[in-house]
Order: sequence, then structure tokens, then C-alpha cells
Amino acid sequence: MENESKNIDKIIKQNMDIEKPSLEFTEKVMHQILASESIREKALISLLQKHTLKEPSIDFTSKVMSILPKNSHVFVYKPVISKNVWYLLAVGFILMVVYIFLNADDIVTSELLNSYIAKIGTVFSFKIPNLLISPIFALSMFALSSLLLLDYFLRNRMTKTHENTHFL
Amino acid sequence: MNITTDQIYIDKVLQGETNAFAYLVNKYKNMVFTLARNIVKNNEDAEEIAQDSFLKAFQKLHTFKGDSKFSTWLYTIVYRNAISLIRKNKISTTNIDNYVIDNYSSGFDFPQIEAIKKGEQKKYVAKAINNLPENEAFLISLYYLDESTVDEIEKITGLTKNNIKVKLFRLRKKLFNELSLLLKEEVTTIL
Repeated sequence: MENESKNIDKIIKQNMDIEKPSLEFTEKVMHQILASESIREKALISLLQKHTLKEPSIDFTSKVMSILPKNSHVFVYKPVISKNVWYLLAVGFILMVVYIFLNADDIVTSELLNSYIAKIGTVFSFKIPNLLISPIFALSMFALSSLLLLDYFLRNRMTKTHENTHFL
Repeated sequence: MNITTDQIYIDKVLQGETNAFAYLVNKYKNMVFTLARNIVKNNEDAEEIAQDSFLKAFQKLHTFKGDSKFSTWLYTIVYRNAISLIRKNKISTTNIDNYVIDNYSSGFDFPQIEAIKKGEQKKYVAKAINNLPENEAFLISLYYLDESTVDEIEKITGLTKNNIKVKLFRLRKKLFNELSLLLKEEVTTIL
């Protein structure tokens, strides 16, 4: 009896095939899903556009126009020395340095010029205290500058992060 | 087309024709007000923010370089103004916990579709938006009302593109659930 039922099972299994849908079945299903999603999305857009745009008070435009500075041009910042002039000055300076460097031996300075340079040198000469030229002072200045820079960058970064995290 | 028209008026303002600014105010006032309203959740503060944003835009108009849409630049000002007002005044807004309690507890009474008259649809959509946390309502308005791209939203909010996409996906699901009855009716009118 048991053997008989096992045989029947075997025969059924051997004769059963998994039915296959048409080749484009997956494509059709995906198309239907995407179409229904697209319709839902369109419906949401339509619903939101119809009902969520709000209007300020009727006299809003006149209120804004009344607080704008009257009869004045919008302030446009213009530096006294334009960028182009700065570029020209920089190029001139570099050319001068290169020229002096290449022709250092040929440059003859006048006696008068030499005496002026000497005078300027005496006016600006002063004795630097030993403390200012010590390595500890130099290290302290370096550490202080680094801290100030670090503080500046961290502040900037924290402000930006704070603005972004408000969203999260 | 719009960018060109905006630029014409921007140039006029920069040349001293202050009244030309009224064109920009009229064109963008509703969207600016809606965005501000979605963050601060009340009309008085929203109107104040909207006014202040237009004033700042006027004062800083010379810094607008035209490398993005004028609206993107303007909405960035609105977003910053609204966020800073929230921080300053600590305006009470709906937080996520309240949102969940409000919307998923048994007390949430969304009426049957038959009971929603045409005029009342607005009330329920507004309620759904109002229940969203301020920044999410802001995102929804930018994406669905202004039809801003993810790139533009990134510029306005400073969020990463992936973050925006994830948030929009979640928000879409929330709104589909919440407005399901209204959406069914809307689908039938679209088809």
C-alpha cells in the first residue's frame, strides 16, 4: 500500500512541469508597477499643487517695496584698486626682481643713493630684545598662530555642520 | 525663459530701477511665503520672514552671479532666515515623536472619502503637510510645488544628494499613507 502511493507520487512528479508564463511576463509586471507608481506620483503632485501653495497678505508686495531703500542704487562693492591693476603691479614686481637677479653684477648704484640707503638703515635700526629672538618665543608664536587658525576653521565648520544637522 | 526674464529685471534693479524688484516679489511671493510657513508653522512669522528675505535679496542682489536659478538663490535666503528665527525664538514646531503619535494612534480621524467635500480637501492636505516636521515640509514644497531638482535642493539646504533622495522617498510613503483616500479620487480624475 505504502509502496503503491510512493509510486503514484513518483509518477505525478515525473509528469509535472512547472508552467512558464510568456517571455515578456516580468517586463509586463514591472511596467504595470511603474505605471501605477507614476500615476500615484502624478496624483500626489496634483493634490499638493492644488492645495498647499499659500498666499501672503494682499498688500505684501507694497509692504516689501515700502521697506526697500528708495531712489538708491543697490550697493555694488568696487575696490579702489581693481584686480587688473593688482595683477599688473604683481607682474611688474616679479619682472623687476627677475631683472635685478639676472643683472645683479651690472647694476651700479650711485654714491648719493648709497648714502640715502645708509641713512634709512640708521633710522629703522633698533635693538631687538633677546627674548624675541629666542626659540621658545618663536615656538610660542607658532603655537598661538596655529591655535588661532584652528579656532577659525573649527568655528566655520561647526556653523556649517550645525545648519546641516538641523535637517537630520 | 524664466531665467532670462528674471535676469532682465535683476539687471534693471542693479542699474537703480528699484521698482523693477516688484516683478520678482510678485512672481515669488507665494512660494517664499509657503516655504517660510512650512518651517515656522504660523502666518505672522512666515510673512515676516518672507519680507525680510526679499529685503536681503534686494540688498545682496549684486552677489547673485546667475550660475543658478534666481529662485534657488532666493529660497536659500528664505531657508536660512526661517531656521535662524526658529533658533532665536524657539518657535514650537511638531517634532517626529508628536508626528508619530498624532498620525498613527487610533485617535487620528480621517473622514471617509464621501464625507470630504471639494472645499475640504485643502484642509486635509494642509493638515498632512502641517503635521510634517518643519524641514521635511520644506523639502516637499521645494520638490513638488517648485519642482526643484535634487541638485537645487542640495544648494538650498546644504544636505547631500543621497540624504535628500532618502528623505523624499520616506516622505512620499508617509504622504501616500496619509492622503490615500484623497489620492484615490485624484487618480480617477487624472485617468
